[in-house]
Amino acid sequence: MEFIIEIKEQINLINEVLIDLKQSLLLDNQDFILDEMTAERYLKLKYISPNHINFIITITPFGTNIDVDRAMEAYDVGKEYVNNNKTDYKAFFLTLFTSRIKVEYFGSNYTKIYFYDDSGTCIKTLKFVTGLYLKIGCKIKEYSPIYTK
Amino acid sequence: MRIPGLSGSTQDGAYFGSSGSDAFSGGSSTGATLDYIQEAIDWIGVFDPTGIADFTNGTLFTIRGDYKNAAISYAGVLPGGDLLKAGRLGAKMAARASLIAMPILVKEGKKVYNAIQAGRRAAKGGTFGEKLFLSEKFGITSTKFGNSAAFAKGTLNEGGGWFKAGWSTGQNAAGQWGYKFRIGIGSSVTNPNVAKYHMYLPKSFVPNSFANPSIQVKRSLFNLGLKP
Repeated sequence: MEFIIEIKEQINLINEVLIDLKQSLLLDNQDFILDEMTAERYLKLKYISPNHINFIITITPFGTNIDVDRAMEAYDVGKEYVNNNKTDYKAFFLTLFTSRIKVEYFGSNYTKIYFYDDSGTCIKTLKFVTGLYLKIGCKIKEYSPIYTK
Repeated sequence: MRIPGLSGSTQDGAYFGSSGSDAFSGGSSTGATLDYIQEAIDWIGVFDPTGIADFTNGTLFTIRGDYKNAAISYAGVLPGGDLLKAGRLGAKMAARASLIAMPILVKEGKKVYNAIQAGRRAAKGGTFGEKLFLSEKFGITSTKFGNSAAFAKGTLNEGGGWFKAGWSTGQNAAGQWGYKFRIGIGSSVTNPNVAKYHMYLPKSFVPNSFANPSIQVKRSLFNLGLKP
């Protein structure tokens, strides 16, 4: 499938991260499942694995959106942001691919995702709140990195 | 006489289950067995040239007090008398065929019923979520709340401010994927497009089985240069 230039540009940035990690390019990578709704102007890829964090990457001419685990739109950036902050954009994918991840759940309305580097330092957090919640009955899931540096 | 623990026809009635002249039938298993035996004899009687089978059946009907059927069986002894039995055997065969056909008819009937219901729902515009999803003002391709999946990103669905609203992907309580109308409040410092608090409009969930074909239609319109 031939994607439009705005989508190709974003794919290329993710590919640069994958090349650094000595992995197959995004569209050739067997770890990613192409969604049936993918079209020239809309790319949706799913990463589903029982041992790693699951996420969905959606790339459109308007930007990139990533749903991580239960956190919808955990990372959402516009095309303009991508163009002006290519390093940050690539850094997010590097973090997503190479971090040890811990997910904290409180009921059905609160999800917090922690990203840890090799030394065990928390380098990024994402919080997703969809309503009122009580900080009781915490459930935790931990995932190993998808790729190693 | 009433015996505690026994009920229905076994009390007060005849030994074989029911009161009345037909002591062998009336719902008891003995009666049912006799019915089958007599039906078999009926069939034998059709091909039996001696008339013994029909005479035996006639006698059995007489003992059971069913004089009408006894007369039909006795008539079978005479040449051409089997024609009278055709109605009786035909009725039994039809009843048996309907027993086999019933589950098939019920299954097919359910399918037709479901199709009619789906048609009615579609004619009415569907559930609240489906109506909202397809609406011009608030739908998946609306200028304010649209989603990029339908090649139409809504102005309020882009984020970057304190209020974000529009269609986004999500799951329902059963884990089914689809689209929900999401409202986001607040803005993250590190990622301004991400709202701090999200809530979903109740009953707005539309499963992918409905959403995806609708989106494909909207995309086709877009590709034709028409406003979806």
